[in-house]
Amino acid sequence: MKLEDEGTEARFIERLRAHDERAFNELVRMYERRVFVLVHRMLGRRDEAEDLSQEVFVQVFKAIGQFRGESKLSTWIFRIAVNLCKNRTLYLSRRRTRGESELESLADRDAMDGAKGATVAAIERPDELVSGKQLEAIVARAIAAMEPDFREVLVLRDVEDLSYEEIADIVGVKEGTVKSRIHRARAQLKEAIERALGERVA
Amino acid sequence: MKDDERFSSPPPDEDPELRALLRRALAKDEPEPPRDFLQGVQQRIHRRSRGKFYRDGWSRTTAPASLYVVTSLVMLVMVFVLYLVLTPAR
Repeated sequence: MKLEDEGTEARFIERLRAHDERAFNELVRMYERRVFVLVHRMLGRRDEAEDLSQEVFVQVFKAIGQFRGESKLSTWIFRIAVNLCKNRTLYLSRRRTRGESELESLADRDAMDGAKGATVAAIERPDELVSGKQLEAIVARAIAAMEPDFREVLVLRDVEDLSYEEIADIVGVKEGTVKSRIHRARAQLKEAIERALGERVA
Repeated sequence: MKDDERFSSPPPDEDPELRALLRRALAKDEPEPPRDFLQGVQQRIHRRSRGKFYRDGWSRTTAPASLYVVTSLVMLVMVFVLYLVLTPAR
């Protein structure tokens, strides 16, 4: 099912508000993949992502009566997902359960011996110097190590392709703050890549 | 300078190469949600609502509407066959 026009979406939301189980099944089917992938990218751990993304839909089911239609349904669902991710990240950091994440495990520590003398600034196409897979692993690790505030906007913008306005709505900050965080997140990312390539030089 | 002031009008550079790299890095090995994802959500709602929602097995599954139609037609055919079999011949 696609919510192509406002009328269809409005009727669908009415069914959800009435806690129509079949409508809710459709909603889960429509968004499970996007929510799961977003949560996985935010948390970096599959076990946590499975648990939390299911919890997102439980919260959606509970709170659908409060949805006023001021934003898109998807934006509202993403907002719930991002807020739950923030809480879970805080909870996990307090419990100090920073096990090796799946993102981190992507990195192949021995794979970049050939990257001598390399920095992102010095070479135009760093992916030509190291294999694409290895560079992507570095990026994935850098994102996993990023502050949650920066990681969330970067993922929402550069991967989910959402507008600044939508991101501001989801994250609950002004558009200017979103732009600033994205800028700083990209700068952090570049720095992390350069550092990782630089370490190979030493 | 505050965040909001810094980028109040011009958008930050998009840096397409970095974006492409980021997409590739995150899209690679993109995980699929578990097959029983919906069932897990339904079970949670069933438990939290103390059995109010998703109380029967039918609504816990994602049976398509066609399943109900086909089941009804099969039942009608069976009733008709039974009628023919059990009705004494004239």
